[in-house]
Amino acid sequence: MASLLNIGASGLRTQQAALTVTGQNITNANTEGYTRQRVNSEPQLQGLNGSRFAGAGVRVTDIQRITDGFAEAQVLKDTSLFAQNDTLATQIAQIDGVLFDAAGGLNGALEQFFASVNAAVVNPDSLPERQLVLAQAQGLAGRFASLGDTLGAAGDNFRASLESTVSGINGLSASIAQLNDRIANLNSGEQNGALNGLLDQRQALLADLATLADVQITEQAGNQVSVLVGKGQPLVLGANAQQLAVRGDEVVALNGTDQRVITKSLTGGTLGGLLEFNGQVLKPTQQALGQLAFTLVDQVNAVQSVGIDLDGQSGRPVFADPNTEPLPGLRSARLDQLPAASGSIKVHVVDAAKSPLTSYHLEFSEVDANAFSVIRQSDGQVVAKGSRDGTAGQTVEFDQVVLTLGGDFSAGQRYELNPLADAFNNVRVVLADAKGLAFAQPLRAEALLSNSGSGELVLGELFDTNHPQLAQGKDSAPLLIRFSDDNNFDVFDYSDPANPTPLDPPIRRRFTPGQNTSAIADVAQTQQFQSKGALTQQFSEPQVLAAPSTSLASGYPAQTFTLSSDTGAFPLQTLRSGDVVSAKALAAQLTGLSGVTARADTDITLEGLSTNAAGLPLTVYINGEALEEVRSLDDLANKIADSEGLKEQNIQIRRLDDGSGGYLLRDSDGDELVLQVQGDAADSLLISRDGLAQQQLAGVGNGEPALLEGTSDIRAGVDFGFGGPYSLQLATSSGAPLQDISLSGRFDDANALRNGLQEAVDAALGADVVQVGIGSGGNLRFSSRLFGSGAQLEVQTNAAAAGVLGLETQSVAGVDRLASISASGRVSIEVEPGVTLEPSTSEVFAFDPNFARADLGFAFELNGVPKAGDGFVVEFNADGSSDNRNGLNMAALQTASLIGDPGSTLAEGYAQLVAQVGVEAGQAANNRDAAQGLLEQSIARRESVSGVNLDEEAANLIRFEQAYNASAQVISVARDIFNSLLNAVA
Amino acid sequence: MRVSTSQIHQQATAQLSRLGQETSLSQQRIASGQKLLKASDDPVAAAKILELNQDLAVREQYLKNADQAQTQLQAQDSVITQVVESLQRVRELTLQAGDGTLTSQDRSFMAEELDARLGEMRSLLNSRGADGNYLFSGFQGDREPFADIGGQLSFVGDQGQRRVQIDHSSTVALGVSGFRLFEDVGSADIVPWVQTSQTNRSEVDLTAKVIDQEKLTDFSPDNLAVEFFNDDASGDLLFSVTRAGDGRVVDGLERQPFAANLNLESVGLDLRFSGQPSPGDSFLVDSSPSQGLLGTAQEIANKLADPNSATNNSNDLLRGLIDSTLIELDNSLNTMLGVQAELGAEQNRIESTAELHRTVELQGKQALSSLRDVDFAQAVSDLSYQAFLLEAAQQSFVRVNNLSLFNAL
Repeated sequence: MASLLNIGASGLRTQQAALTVTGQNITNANTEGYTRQRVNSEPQLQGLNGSRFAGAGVRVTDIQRITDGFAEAQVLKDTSLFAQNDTLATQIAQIDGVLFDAAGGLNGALEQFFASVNAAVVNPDSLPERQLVLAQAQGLAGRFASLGDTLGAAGDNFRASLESTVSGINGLSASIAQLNDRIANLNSGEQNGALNGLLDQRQALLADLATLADVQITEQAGNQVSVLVGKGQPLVLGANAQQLAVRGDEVVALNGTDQRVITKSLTGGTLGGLLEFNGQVLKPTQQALGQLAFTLVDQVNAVQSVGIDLDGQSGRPVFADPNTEPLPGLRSARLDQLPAASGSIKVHVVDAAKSPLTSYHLEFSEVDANAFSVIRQSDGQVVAKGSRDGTAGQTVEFDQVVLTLGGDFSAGQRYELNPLADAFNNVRVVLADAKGLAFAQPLRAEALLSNSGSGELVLGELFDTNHPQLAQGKDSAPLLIRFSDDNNFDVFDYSDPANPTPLDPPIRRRFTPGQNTSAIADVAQTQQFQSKGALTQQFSEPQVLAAPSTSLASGYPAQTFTLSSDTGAFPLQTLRSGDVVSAKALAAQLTGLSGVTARADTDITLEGLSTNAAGLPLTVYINGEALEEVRSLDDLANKIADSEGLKEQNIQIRRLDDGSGGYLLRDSDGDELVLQVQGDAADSLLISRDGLAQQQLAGVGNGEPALLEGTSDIRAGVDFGFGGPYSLQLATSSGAPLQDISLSGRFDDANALRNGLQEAVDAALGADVVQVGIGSGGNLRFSSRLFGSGAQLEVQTNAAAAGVLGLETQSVAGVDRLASISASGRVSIEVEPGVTLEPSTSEVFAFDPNFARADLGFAFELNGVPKAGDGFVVEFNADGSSDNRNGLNMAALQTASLIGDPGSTLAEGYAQLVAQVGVEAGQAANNRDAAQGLLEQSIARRESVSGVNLDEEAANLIRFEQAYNASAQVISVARDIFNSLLNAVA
Repeated sequence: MRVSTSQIHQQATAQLSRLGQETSLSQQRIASGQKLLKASDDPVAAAKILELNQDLAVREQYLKNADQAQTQLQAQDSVITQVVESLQRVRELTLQAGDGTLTSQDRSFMAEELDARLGEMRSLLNSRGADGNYLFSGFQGDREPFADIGGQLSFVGDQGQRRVQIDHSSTVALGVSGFRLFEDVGSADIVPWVQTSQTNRSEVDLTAKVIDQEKLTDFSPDNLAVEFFNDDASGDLLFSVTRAGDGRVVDGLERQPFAANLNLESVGLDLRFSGQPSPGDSFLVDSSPSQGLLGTAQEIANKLADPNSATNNSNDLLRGLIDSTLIELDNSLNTMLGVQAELGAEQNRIESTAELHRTVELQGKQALSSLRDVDFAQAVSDLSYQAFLLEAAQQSFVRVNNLSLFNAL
């Protein structure tokens, strides 16, 4: 009976507990993180009723949290995933809309800028149109800046969010560690209720933490949990929490003084979303926009720099140069927390359009403060390694970056380099005067009115405005490009049209008609050096030869040439020339080497010409071509100019400008020149050559004419009227018809006879051919200076004449000898920049480290068929206010494929950037929706286990109430029984 | 499965908020008329829209440029037409001058009309375009292209050509250079063309007249250079006449003493100097196969103007003058007619290019519209469906919410 009472009471207690828990569940139906609870009870087994075991009622064993560990874990995981994508989507949305916005995007401003350039270019001298260009350039700069502001605000937002997220993580970790501690201490026999509350609390904190980062949670002994983040970085271990910190854009884990960058391993949660936004969206967008800004500024300024403005001045930059101070010093940021060192870093960008879109890390070795390496962040490649040399301006080049290091660095220092990311914030218009827009080009080309060919000269790229020929601006000397023959042209200084002077070094090129549209490629940027001429045989010693000669007598000895490329464009090459080759052959061999163009030419200065005392003409042979009857140097020059044979050999004569009266004889092919003189010792040709002693090429006739002498003494005179008939015939070369010399009249002495005969001989043969004289024995002499093979003096007499004059029919050969000298050519070698050529014998090639320039600073094309004598003048474009050639180049930037390779226009580049951000944003939004679905499902699953259903609780309420009532009835029955017993007793 | 009460609420709210968002987005699209509100709505279309916009802007620019080019070419064309008219009158007068019955006095009267025509042509050649620049002066738009230099009407412009872009890959010249049109006109014979060095220090002039055409023709294409210098010893002013090509002395005229009003003969030319040259002064006499239109007209006008001139009193000389003038005038006419044909062709090319731009522009605009603009029928129907769904969700939520066991307690 007492036991029944007890049993009823135990029922009452138990049901009351159940009702309480149900009440707790109902009231916490909307409490975040609450886990529904249940009262677990068991029958009490003690108490014997007589011999039967009847039980002692019911007992509450515990109040259980209804949870499912897997469901909880899944919720945490999906929470992280959702938070990550939600954060990413939210962050991108900040810039997505602005970039695409017609008013806020870049393309509208680009269009307006180029529209104004186009309008101004059509009327290049209209100031209002020019002013509009500058205004639109300002607008463009402003648009870049406002886009920069948007990206900057997103960046600020990112950093602030990162800070608050990390401090949130730190706070949560600390709280979880504390709870771990309390839970561990509770376990020793405290009530379930408290534990459940703490567990719920901790679960709520874990859920919060999962929102911030993807965490791995492991159950430990004693209801504790450990929390890891990233790749095993502990946040909470038992009662201990570890802290994270933000360094720049990086997250580091702190462990005492040790810092470890863990940014890359962090995924999930707000933290993962933020880092992904920064790394995948914000930075690439900044870099791409920076590249657009940098490229636009570079290109506009580059076009501007090769033009001239309305005042005829060389174009000044429209935009501030992004590589001027202080900008290069602002492109790096410290990543480490080491004490400040004196090191300074400057980042110059060579060609932004070709730059990869990435940042770089400059890292100094942990052990050696001098050793550094540069790591490209897009692919993790080490792009440069080096050792600090202590100089103030040590440069390191990689990709399109020139890094300048100064001062000292300490071991372990780390920097982030961002070559492009700030450019859009620094687009500034520095050109204030609209006249300063350089729409004109500095040069114009004009055909001479006297041209007879159909040639046309078209100016090409102006690649060096600092070329000495161009640097003087409007005071630069005009140039004349004149064809010396149909295939070769020279370039002259045309300051004085009556007296064009060759450039130094002379520029001469070959032109092939029909090569119409292609550029004259070799008027490109080259450098030139020249040989001194063949070493041993600049002139051959004068020689006595039997016949005019064209064979090679002088030339270049065998030598070795070594060709190397400074840039490593090709491997080292050597060339061994043959023994004693002509300049022409050597030039042809050298031209076969890459980056080398060699030309040969031969020249000799003819300084004077003297004839013997009698003034007899001499014969000069040039390369075997005979020039006869030469009486003076001018005469020789005219004969050379008129000689078709020499013209075919490309041999020309040109009067010297120095007033000396001398001439320059020149073979523009570089063949050997052989000069030969036929005359006697008093005949001579004075020749010289650059830097060499004058040579006299004298005749070798020695004054010994061919001589035929009679045997009779004729001092007593001869009467040709008596006896006879007398006949005498003369000839001066074999096989030539003999000329009759009239023998008539009476001569009283030898002198009279000589004079008469001379008169007759001159009449028959011409003056100065055969001299008539009287020998010491009174005998008659015919003498003649005869040269060349076949030359002979021949006389025929009939018997009567032979008898009187003592002169039989006979002949004598002429002096058949020539004085000869030969000169080898000079080789002019042009090497492209970055190529070095060294011959083995420096005596032949004069080496000057400052090679003379062999280009004009601009390229041009020759079209059509020019004729000899045609010329084109290239002069400064003075007063060229209507010239818009350079302006067209500026307008063409709009549609030019400037960015990257294969290349896109500025507008396309921007569209790609917008699309890229759009794709990322779209993807993030989709991922967020998917993650939301997953999260909802896993929450539903957890809720289905742990959530409170009010209907269920209402039913429980009824159930427990009924059971409570029933238990009360048990007590009532026990009382009734007891009363019945009392009544029975009473 | 169990469903917790809070979850019923949460899911319903989430659902309602999602439907609300979609409805609002649809409403925004309809209100703005734009399908894409931000790039992420359709990144590919967004990029395409930006590129199309750019392309349309560029084409619009090309069309404007084409318009400008047309205006400029038409201006040149109409000037050339007027010059041709004047030229034809000059030609008639030249023909008439050959009439043997005319006296030299008559011819000098004709020269007056020739002079008037010459002035007319000169002012035509010095016309300005709509933009205020001279039409035929090349790059020096602010400089009169034909000016009187030492009594000779010379072209002082340059051969530059302003161009505008009318297509991605092609530009069109805003007209033809005055040099080609009016100056580089083939002459009947080689003619001398005196160029005074820009470095000359004194006001010295050289005129060159042909006296032996054959000699001059032989001498060409070489040109003649005349240089003045002082003798080192005596300090006397000397001159030399050389070939410009290779510096050889011509006709032995080396280191000759200079006398005032020097007159000499070389390579078939009569060379007359006026003024006192300084040492270092020089002249270049080009032997040119071309003569300018104004030069031709001026020559005949000058020669006929003086009734006592040699030409006016010798039938042979007159005949020769008229023949060569006619040849040159015809060459000039042909050049101009040829250029006019070219200008016409060029205008056609511009027009057809512009037409192409207009066609592509239209297509581009359609493409742009299909990418960017909202299809209203679709959008409105979407919106009403979404509104319907939202309403249904709201009502069902209220219904579900009313179900609770507690109501029965």
